[in-house]
Amino acid sequence: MRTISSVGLSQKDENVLKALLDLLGARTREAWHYAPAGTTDAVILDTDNRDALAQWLAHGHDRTLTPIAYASAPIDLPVEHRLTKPFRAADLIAVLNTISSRDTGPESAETAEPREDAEADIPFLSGAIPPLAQQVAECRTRYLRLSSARQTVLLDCANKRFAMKHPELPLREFLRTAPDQLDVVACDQPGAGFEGIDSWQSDTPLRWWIGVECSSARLLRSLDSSSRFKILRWPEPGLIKHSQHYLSLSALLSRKSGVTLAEIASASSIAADVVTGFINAASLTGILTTRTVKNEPGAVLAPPAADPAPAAPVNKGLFARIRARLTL
Amino acid sequence: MSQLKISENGERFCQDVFDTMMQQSDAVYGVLISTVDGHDVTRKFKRDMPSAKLAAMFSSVLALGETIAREADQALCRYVIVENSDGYILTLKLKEKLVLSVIATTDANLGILHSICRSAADKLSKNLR
Amino acid sequence: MSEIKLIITGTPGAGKTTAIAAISETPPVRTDTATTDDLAEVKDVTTVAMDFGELTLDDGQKVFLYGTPGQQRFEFMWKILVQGGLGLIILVDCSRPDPLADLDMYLENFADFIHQTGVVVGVTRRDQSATPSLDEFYERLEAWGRVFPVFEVDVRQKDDVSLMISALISTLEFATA
Ligand SMILES: Nc1nc2c(ncn2[C@@H]2O[C@H](COP(=O)(O)OP(=O)(O)OP(=O)(O)O)[C@@H](O)[C@H]2O)c(=O)[nH]1
Ligand SMILES: [Mg+2]
Repeated sequence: MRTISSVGLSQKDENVLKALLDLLGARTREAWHYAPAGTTDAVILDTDNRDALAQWLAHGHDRTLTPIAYASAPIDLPVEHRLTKPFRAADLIAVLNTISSRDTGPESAETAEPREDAEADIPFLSGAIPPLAQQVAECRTRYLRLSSARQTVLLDCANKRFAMKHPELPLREFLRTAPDQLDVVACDQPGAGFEGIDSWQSDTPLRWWIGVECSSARLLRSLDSSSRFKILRWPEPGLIKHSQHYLSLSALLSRKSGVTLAEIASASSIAADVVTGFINAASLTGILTTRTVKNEPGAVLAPPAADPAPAAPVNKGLFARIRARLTL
Repeated sequence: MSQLKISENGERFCQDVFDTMMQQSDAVYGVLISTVDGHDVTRKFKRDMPSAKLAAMFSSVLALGETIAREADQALCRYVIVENSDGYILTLKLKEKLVLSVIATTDANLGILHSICRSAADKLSKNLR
Repeated sequence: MSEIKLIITGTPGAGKTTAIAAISETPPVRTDTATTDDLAEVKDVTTVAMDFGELTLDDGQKVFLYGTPGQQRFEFMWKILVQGGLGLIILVDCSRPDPLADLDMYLENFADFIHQTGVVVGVTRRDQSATPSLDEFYERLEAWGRVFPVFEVDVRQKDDVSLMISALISTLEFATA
């Protein structure tokens, strides 16, 4: 494991750096973690911040530390590694891998090169922030702090719980806050306002609504769009009862051999982003199982048990009318 | 399960009443007392019949009879009669929580069965709790 | 137009009659009589033939709801009542001694019907017992392959009854495979 600290970064840049490091995971040759300045392997210097830089240079910093200059324009400093503002995941991967390969020898350098398609592979790494659902999927041990102008939600990823400050809006409405109005920060401590908080709640609804509302119509990276999706159990009523689509999707994903995205599309007229959000939500709340079609010759040869219903087409309209009558 | 049970005396009394009914008409080959919620209490059968199952069924038909009467806006249901090609089954309420059922061949007519049932029910009602 | 008939079964006292009364548009038809056994400790009356309630769809078509008696001695009524039925709801009173065994009993007895249609399990009286967990109920359903919904419900609430019916309808429409 490698560590990296920063000097002189704005709060926002520091947050972005931490979030990126959190997300990079397996994409760098070695695992990199953010740590307070001191004894880290590398340090990112905001060279635009002259005061901080001067102070760092003056205070006989540790020479074994690898500095990385981070600036809006090139500057004249004897620094081997450079990054241009703003932070871009691909650049950061490249720099970190270069440091790794230089330290561990050239034969591994080849693998250290960021793959050319690295960004295409991970669209959200092209500098943009990944959908919140993806960030939550990858946060295993830390806290994620979501703040809008007036409300803050803290997800304790390790302990499957969350807490809220100044709750103004119900969770789902809060999560509909436009992504650029919603500040997402990964942190190691609960942070301001959440010290000693005791109003923790089960994180299932939070994770569910994040999946539903904050997936940007993209399946989580851990999910393969060609697999068969199935749920282990139905979501809690409170999460599905207000939308017929969620009841339908719950039922579709309840089939004996699960369903593919194509089967969902042919059996229902539910919009693709609703389907994606639902599947992500099921995954984030731990009730999703998937089966890779190609690993199961049977699944390919035998199409999912011949679509059931002689009853279905006849009853379609009927089912719809019963639902209309029951509107919850 | 704590089910309604009758005393030894009560049991003897019931058996006497059942005997009388069967003496009054050869057609009667089964008499059963059960609870309104379908438990078998006591019986005299000349043929083999599943008394527990019948007890449950009698409670169902009687309840349905009472419900049908109510839905059709008719007063108190006295009997439920099942008339079959080779027999009759009469079921009536006995006091609050009991049901008396009589199973007979077609050798007796319904009128006679009615009267046998009614007098048995009177005797039983007076003497059972 | 085909008859639409849904059946509600489950343990004595689980709330079958209550559920139908909660959602039926017309005063439900009941066949409750005095309880003379242990159940008397829980309630005074029990259903011995059936409950019946109805809903009207916007085109005038009726949906019939039939409640069964709960006790196994009324098994013959179960067989009669499921005839022509579209789907099943099983209510399990979780305050009884062994709710999972109760569920198994109904699953077994209604197996043929469930195979042809579908089932929703409603766990009732949660205010009186927090066990067994929903996971345990789901485990009992695993052998079916299809994942049938299990919900904690308060059948005195119309919305909860609606939810079970909606989920059942969705299951019938989309999850018969
Ligand atoms: N405390 C509590 N009581 C409930 C709940 N749900 C239902 N009840 C009560 O439980 C009783 C259920 O009775 P019924 O509706 O007659 O039950 P049933 O399933 O029809 O019973 P049988 O006909 O005897 O098989 C009613 O008195 C309800 O008010 C619940 O969630 N909590
Ligand atoms: Mg009832």
